[in-house]
Amino acid sequence: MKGPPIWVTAVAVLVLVFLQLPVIVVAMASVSTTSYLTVPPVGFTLDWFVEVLTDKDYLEAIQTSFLLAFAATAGALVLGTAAAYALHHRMVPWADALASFFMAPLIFPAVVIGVALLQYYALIGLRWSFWGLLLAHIAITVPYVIRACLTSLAGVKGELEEAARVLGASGFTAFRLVTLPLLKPGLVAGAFFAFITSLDNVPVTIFLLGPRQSTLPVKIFTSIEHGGVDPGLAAISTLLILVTGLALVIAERWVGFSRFV
Amino acid sequence: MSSLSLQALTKRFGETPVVDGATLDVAEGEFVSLLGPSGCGKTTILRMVAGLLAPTSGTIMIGPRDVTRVATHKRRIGLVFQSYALFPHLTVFDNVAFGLKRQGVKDVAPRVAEALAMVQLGHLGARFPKELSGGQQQRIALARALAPRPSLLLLDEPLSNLDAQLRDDMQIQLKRLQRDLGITSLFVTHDQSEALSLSDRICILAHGKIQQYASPEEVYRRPANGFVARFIGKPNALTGSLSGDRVDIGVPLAFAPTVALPASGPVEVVVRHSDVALSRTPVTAPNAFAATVRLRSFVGARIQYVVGIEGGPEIIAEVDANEPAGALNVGDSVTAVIDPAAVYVSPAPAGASGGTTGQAAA
Repeated sequence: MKGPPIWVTAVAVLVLVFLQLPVIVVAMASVSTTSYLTVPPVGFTLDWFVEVLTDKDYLEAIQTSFLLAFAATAGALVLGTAAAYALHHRMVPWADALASFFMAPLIFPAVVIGVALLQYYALIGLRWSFWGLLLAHIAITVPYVIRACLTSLAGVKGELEEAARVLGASGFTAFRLVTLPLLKPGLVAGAFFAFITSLDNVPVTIFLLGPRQSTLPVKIFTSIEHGGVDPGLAAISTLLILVTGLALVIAERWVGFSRFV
Repeated sequence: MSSLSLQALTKRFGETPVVDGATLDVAEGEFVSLLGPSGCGKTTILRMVAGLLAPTSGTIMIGPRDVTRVATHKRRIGLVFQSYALFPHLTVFDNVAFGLKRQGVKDVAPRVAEALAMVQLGHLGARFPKELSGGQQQRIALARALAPRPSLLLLDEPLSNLDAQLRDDMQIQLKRLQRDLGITSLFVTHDQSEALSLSDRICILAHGKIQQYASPEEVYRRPANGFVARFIGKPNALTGSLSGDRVDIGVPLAFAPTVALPASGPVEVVVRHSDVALSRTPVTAPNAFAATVRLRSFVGARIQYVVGIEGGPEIIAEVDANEPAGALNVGDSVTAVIDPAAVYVSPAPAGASGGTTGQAAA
């Protein structure tokens, strides 16, 4: 078989390298023995990894981030699946308009959402609370679940649930035993996007955090802002990349999720 | 097994009645077809019996039990979908076991084996639906519907997705299975030959109304109105006007009235292809007309002619290839004979009429 022309291959390789270069640079910088970022690294050490993973502030931020990401993903999964189901079956009026409405957080500038939520939370007394932050993260992650779920539902024939009901399953049992298993690939994909989106969010989160709270990406962001760009930041970034990459591989192996991207 | 009884069953979507006062009794063990063109309401009736659609008014009784407001999953019915609707994520075994598990049956394996044996697919339990042919999927769907031993079996055009050869085989299998189990069955179809060959009784629907409910022979031989006459068999649909006891279609045609007709005016006239006899020699009979053969075509065991009646319309006649009339040629002069009892006259515009529900309930 004849391959693509040489220049197509060359451009493709260049684009890939350009996209992956920052990742490689960060990973290389994280093992430098110097106290400042430098590429290529000087010497080799894993001390920076030890340092960030024993730093109380970083550990707290990591904990907050993962707790938030898991809780937001769970919330988005439940609400997003229910919303997608209702929209798909047109159980609500104006289903198309509502679907666009749910997608709004994808299109709206995140900073605008952050500022708006800050003022709103101040009004209703949710400011600086974990619950407020969680609700905000559900709102920005739920579109991914809804979208993945709607895509999957389009491939599930409505007659299947009817067949289950005729065979003696109540409405919810029919959903649980027939539709839900068929939605699984879409739900895994949606959950993955939701999790990463929550884990990585700065612009909305930064407005809603209390004085002594931080999430990992906000912590990284503020560290840079306050002057200290050291290999510790590169180390924590490398860890984040590894965790994300690992999750991606698992999701792809599990449900072949590239179909939903 | 149970009987099924529909009383004045009506479904409106907005102002439009889709099913309009359908009254129908299906006896225990009987096989009844709902036959009609698309949009006649047959599938709507089936879905209301299944509980997948709520009637606007009327009553549905399964045996002595009023199920009009009973939830689908508590009706104990079997339903075979046109698309089969097998659960793609479950094996054949688990598909068939689905209904049994919902009933709380402890040991499902022998019951599943029994159901699969009924459709001669006992060896396919471990397969997934997508690994089966259309005909096999269709039989698994049947086994799944029958495994929980429902009191009533509903079939929604289950044979229409199969190719012709397979359809004939399945038709025989289905008929045999239904007879052996003695299960009360309601079969929705738009295919008259399917309905005629499978059913104990046929319920013909048009525009949401029952046109006739009778045995296949009765429906074929004595159509209750013009709609049924045109729908069953292959009809010559003609127009004419009444004059006295004859109908004028260019030539005066004698007929035996089956429905109430106005004293005069335009009417629709239906004569089936197979009810037109052709003869080379003159015949003395009512409705014997001089005619000319214009076209001849061979359709398997039968020959189809287009003949022009002198002074009248062109009509189609279909005769057995073995008859003397099977050897006619284009241009031959013949006598066309139409039995007055085979001429169905109805007021124009013929079509759905609501005047036959009393008859239908009989």
